[in-house]
Amino acid sequence: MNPYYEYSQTLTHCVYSMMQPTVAIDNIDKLSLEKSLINRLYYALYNRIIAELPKLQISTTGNKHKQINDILLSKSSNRSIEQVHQVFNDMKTLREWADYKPNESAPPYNLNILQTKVYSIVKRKKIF
Amino acid sequence: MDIKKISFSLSLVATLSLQTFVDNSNNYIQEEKSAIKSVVELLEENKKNSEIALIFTQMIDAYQQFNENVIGFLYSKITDFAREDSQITGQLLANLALYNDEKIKFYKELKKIAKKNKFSKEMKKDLLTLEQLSKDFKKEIQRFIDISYMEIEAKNYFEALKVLHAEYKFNDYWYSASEVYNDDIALFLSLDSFDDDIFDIEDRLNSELLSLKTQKQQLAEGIELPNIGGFNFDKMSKSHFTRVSLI
Repeated sequence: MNPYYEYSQTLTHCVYSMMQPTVAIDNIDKLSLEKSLINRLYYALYNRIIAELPKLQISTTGNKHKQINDILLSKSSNRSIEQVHQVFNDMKTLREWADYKPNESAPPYNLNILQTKVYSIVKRKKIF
Repeated sequence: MDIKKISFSLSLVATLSLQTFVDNSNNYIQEEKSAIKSVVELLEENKKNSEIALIFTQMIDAYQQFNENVIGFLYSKITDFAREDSQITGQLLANLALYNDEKIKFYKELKKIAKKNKFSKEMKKDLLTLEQLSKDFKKEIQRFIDISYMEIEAKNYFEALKVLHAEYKFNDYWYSASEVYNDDIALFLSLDSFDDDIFDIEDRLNSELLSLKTQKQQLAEGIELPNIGGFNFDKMSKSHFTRVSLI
């Protein structure tokens, strides 16, 4: 199996497992945990897309996040790819908030919705 | 004259409220106005340039304090402030903008005087720095104005969608203010719970957003937008958001 695809699935399942009410998270700061989950969801999506972009897998130059965005944008006349583009962009914005903007107000996110959106793409047999 | 007065202390609290912010800004404006008045008086009295030089240095320091502690903080709070009270936020930005314009004019005049009064090299350099800081500040205010209009638009869309789609329980909205000059900006919405497919709901809300955008553009047609002090108010009539996204 494609390791990027596999990693993408693992991350999504990991987030899903962490979100289960049975997981003991009493001693973990809730916001930090949720930010970590947003980060992992973003990378689940990132790896799922890169799984179909072999050139980008071996590339060592440039900003891969931007390159993925550009590729998705260039193919966004296809409604299905446009959907992936939008979710990728939105997750990127949320991850940037989660990782780099501690002073900014928190988005009113619902992790179940984010997880559902990302998973609906991760489980696709084909993106492009 | 107490030229030390310009070295006022600024609040460094992380939970600066809109009112504290307005107070700090007014305080800064007042203190700096008094420093500028002192410069004018010293020039009129033909006092030594060294006293003016000291005021220049203190004004640069005060601006840097203001920029780091207050304006820097405004970047992370502008959307909250505009949401809390767009009128007070607008007044605050207008005050800062108008005062900043007065300063730019004052520095221009002072540059002419500098030639006659034989300002030292250091003083001329400080004067140029002060002028540049005011020009940079003008750009920052423009950005705050644009973000404030973005917030007003987001709030209007959110309220309209709540009425038009009462079948969904809307909680709140959010967007990334740092994207204010981007082409594709999502208005993030949170809903309580829903049974339909997320992407189907988004499609429905997006077609509504498109019609709200068209209405906004039609309303804005024919309205002559103000151009005050070189500030651009185009964002008042523009639509920032291209789509909604449920998060």
